[in-house]
Amino acid sequence: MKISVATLVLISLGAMLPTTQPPQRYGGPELVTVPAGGWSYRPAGTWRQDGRPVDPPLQRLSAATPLAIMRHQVSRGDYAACVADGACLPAEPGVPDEPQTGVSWHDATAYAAWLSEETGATWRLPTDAEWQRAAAERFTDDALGTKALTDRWLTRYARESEAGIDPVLRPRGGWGENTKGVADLAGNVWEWTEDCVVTGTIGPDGQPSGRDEFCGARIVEGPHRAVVIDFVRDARAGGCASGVPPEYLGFRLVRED
Amino acid sequence: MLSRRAALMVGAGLAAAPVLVQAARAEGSMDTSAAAPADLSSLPRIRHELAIPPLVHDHEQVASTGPRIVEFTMDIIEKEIQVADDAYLQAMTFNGSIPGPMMVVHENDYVELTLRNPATNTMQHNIDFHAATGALGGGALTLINPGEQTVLRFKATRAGVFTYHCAPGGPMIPWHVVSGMSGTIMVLPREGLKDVAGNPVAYDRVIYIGENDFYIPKDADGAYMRFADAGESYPDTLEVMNKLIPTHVVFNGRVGALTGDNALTAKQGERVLFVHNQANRDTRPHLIGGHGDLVWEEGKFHNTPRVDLETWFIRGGSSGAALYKFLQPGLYAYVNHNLIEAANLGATAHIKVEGEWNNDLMEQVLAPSPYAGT
Ligand SMILES: [Cu+2]
Repeated sequence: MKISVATLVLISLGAMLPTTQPPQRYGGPELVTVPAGGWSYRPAGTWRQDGRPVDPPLQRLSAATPLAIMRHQVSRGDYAACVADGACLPAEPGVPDEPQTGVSWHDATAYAAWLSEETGATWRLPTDAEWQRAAAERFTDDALGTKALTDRWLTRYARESEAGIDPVLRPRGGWGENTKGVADLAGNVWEWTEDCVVTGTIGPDGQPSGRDEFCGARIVEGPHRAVVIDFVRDARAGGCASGVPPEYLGFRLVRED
Repeated sequence: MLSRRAALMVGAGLAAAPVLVQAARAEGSMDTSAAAPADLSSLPRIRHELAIPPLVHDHEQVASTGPRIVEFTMDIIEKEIQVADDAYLQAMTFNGSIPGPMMVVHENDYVELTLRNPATNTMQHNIDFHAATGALGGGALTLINPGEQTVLRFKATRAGVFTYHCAPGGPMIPWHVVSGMSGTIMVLPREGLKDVAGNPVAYDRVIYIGENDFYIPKDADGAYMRFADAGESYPDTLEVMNKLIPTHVVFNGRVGALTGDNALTAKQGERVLFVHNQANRDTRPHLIGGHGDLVWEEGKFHNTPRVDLETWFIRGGSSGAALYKFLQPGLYAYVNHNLIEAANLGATAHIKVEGEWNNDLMEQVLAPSPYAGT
């Protein structure tokens, strides 16, 4: 699956707002509507210019339609309903009000399929660009600002180590809301996105000139961006090539309107 | 369960993209850190085709030239293999074999490896050479997606047999290793091996043993589970791995890989260098009926070898070497002398040796016969 930035914007432009809410078996997840407009976007992945690793340029994206995203991460209670229906695999147990952790990308997409079935709406993981749009100031830009390979490794490692993330899980809302009203972004539960791992090249003009994807691993967003193999449920023992691993793996969904 | 087919198809799509290969080539020029490039243009190059273990490609023991750039190519192959009559493994391999093929170079040669991850694979892989210096043994420079290749060059500055293995990050590291992704590179001193007194010693051939601990899940009925692909096998395998009790401990990828019809052969008087790799777990080779004449237990050739050993110790994550001259004909067993692992879990090889029996070394003075004791 390949989604270029251009296509992404087109998809947003082509979408239409629903006139009626789909039927729901229960109240349904609480949504935040991020209004139409622009946001800055730093592509994920490994980018090279003349064979040397570089930061991809910060891009400006815009969407003509709002984005409907879950205010909270999917909770253990939410997820348990999917398990009870036999549509999701059992995952880490715990307090119903806590985010569901210990889930793989496959678990997250299974839940999205189930929720779509349940509600009659289309639910899916956000793309990394959509996550950045909703996260706004809670997105941590991971541009390293240097071309020297050794400095890039050490800078990244230092940044991730210094983050000093509290390992204790918090009930929903425990990390507060960002300026868009989206809760618990970049706390200690990383969120799966739809994006595959990208290897790209930057042309002489400083703009992306080619990219390719590997979809056996996906981008997760949290206090720092990371790459996690899609069937991994616990990345604590590692996950970033040699950096600091995501503490917990969870997710939230967007609704396609 | 979860199908990996989607990932497979994406991988296949990647193969068509020429961009990746160009990027890898550019990186392969080794101007990796904007640092001054090393000028190796005056060095001769030689290319070796890799052999399937327990064999090793042809090589000189004493270097006849100065340092060279030694080129190798390895393809990473993900495939299901049979590890015992009733057990299968979704294996990950360097070049299709377990262990990965042995590379042989001399001290101060430059190893230049082209590592390729075919588009038909489903996972990212890389290579960490314990013989190399920096960048996590090369692991940080060689992580490749299906459909990508990379070229790594490193200077072999230390002499010895060294483990190499896949190390693609976090929990993938032990899993890829216990799925088969490890092997040995042998860096010989340019003047060849030396004995305790510093005199040159040579071997007639190398027998290359890779020992693996496998962790294969069982179903509710106690039968070994079989999986559609590696990703599907991961959760159950991880559970077995984390208990640290292997279901199989084998030489060269399966129970019986080096016994019976596959037994090794040698001749009386032949000097065999046994190179033993174990990337994950300690082991203790022992040659039943023989010895280690000269043993580089830690595998590093500038240390004085130990003599006359009965059993030697290979630390998990290393290779070791033992030289033995076969003095008697007959059948020898080369085992991991945890005998439960040798006899019950698979860690046994047999060597059939031709020659003339030497009664001075051993003689059956009286064949087993009845006696009238009480
Ligand atoms: Cu691997």
